[in-house]
Amino acid sequence: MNKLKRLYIFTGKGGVGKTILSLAFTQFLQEKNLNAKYVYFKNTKLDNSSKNYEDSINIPTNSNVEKLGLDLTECAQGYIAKKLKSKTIASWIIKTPFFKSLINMIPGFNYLIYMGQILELLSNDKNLVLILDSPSTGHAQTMLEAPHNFNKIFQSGIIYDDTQKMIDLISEKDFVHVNIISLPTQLSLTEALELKNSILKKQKISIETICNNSLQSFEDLRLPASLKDKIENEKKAIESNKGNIKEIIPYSKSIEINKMFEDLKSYMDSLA
Amino acid sequence: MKSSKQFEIFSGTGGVGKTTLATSRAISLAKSGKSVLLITIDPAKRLREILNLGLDSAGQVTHLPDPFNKNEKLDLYVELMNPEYTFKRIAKESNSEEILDNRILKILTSPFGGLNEILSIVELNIQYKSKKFDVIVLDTPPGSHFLDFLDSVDRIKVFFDQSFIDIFNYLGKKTSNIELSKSKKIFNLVVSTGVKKLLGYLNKVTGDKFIDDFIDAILSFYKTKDSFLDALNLQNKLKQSSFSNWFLVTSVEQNKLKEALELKAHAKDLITKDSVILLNKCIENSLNNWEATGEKEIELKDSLILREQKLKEGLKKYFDEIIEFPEVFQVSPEEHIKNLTTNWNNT
Repeated sequence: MNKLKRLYIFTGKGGVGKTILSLAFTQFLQEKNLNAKYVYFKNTKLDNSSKNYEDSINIPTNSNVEKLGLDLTECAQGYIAKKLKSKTIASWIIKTPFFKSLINMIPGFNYLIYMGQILELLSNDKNLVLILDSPSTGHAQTMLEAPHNFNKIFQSGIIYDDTQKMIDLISEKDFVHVNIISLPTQLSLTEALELKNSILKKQKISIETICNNSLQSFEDLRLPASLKDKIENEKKAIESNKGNIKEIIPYSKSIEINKMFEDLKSYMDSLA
Repeated sequence: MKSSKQFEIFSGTGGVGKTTLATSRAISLAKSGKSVLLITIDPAKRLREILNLGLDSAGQVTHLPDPFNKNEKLDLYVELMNPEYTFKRIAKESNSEEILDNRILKILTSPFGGLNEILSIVELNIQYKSKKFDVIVLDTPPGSHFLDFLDSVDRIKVFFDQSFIDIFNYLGKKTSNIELSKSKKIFNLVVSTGVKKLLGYLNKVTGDKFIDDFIDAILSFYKTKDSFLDALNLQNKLKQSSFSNWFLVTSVEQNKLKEALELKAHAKDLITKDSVILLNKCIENSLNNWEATGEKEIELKDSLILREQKLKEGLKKYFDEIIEFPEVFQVSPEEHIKNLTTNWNNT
């Protein structure tokens, strides 16, 4: 297993197994008696909107992994309160339509707030390891780019200093690791590679592609033509992306989540 | 074939074949003689790959009379949505190209800058108003991005109607005469009005430089407000069954029942009531023909079929119409699209 990082970001398109893998990984670390927590965003907008897609990441409830849901309003209010040294002013600012639309209009801003909160949690507790189950591909990138973008936008002042701190922290060796979860198809693997390159263009961080739900291990069974085709396609896709795949995780036949975690256990080292 | 409407909107959970389904739908409609524009706002630029479009095609409407070299003369047009390009266009329309130099707006209108969804509504509206096309097929970004896309209409409203009303009321008609270099003065004017306190605090946190440029950005933005407000009218059209077909796409492979249902639940006030679910990459039928022998084989077959059936059962409770598309294994995108086009013709 690699030297443990402080923050693990799991990203990739919807339905590729990000949530299951990040939960399994958190449980794996917790079983080693490490102070690991699974983190997710409860929403990406400030309150008072009926269209908030709260808990849009569906977390299976029958697992006993320790979870931490972050709320945007609370994080933003906490940040302002800290900077202006007043909770009252912070709660007032956050309620103004001006501030709300500023945040909601510029989606990158919410990720800056979340990113700040996550880094704060990590610097307050030096033993804490966070596993972040991030929303779909574009969003993970928006999040990682947010400190850079806002660094350029502000150029001076408190937020500028904070974005600078964030950038320094993220680029620290052994601080953050990104796992891009992909399906074993050409399309999905190409997108994973595109995402990896585009993130690396902005910053040097540790980042790997994990190929999930592989049917290859069933290859030796007597299979119908359609499944053979599927496996054949899968093998071609994996072969042509060979240098870019850290681990291939097989399809789990289990339905129950804790059984699934059992199936996945032997692959967890490669996610660290 | 399922009859077409002015807008055909494909949304879904990402990586489910949404772009290929939208493309095959656009081609099927073009083949039936319609003039069709296919727009994608998927930042992953999948459409470019499928149709072999060059890198320089972003933001442009490209005529593709013969996408697969079959000597066809289709009225098929493709556009890869590019927020920077759209913003340039509306700046030009409002005769305020100087706003393109604003530092903050430059960053915000870059592809991951955050204004993607809002500008795509504007772009959609521009193309609709051009009246050049019978049908506009829209391939939206996956998952929560898609909700951002729908919500963006509301955000435009808030941005221009409420939150800045204090500032703009104060500035009034003067905005068109104000030179941007005078922003410091404007800022001073603004802080002497009702929003003084707020901007004062902001100034404390963000520094002087930001407030100056921010006021510039807001004023610049305000100059283009007509394009944004005009795009609001589109929202009503997108809700009407007579104007729009909504296709929510999901795939068996990704088993995202809950995500699809939540998409529908959250979007229900914004999309038509009779939205259709497209279930891609179905393998149940081909698996049913498999006479599995041996314990492991039966186990695998049962597990895969069970997974698909559970998904279909769940979807049937919430959608009146499910259109299934079988998994296809042809490697070339051309074969793939052709296969899906045939499936469309049978619907």
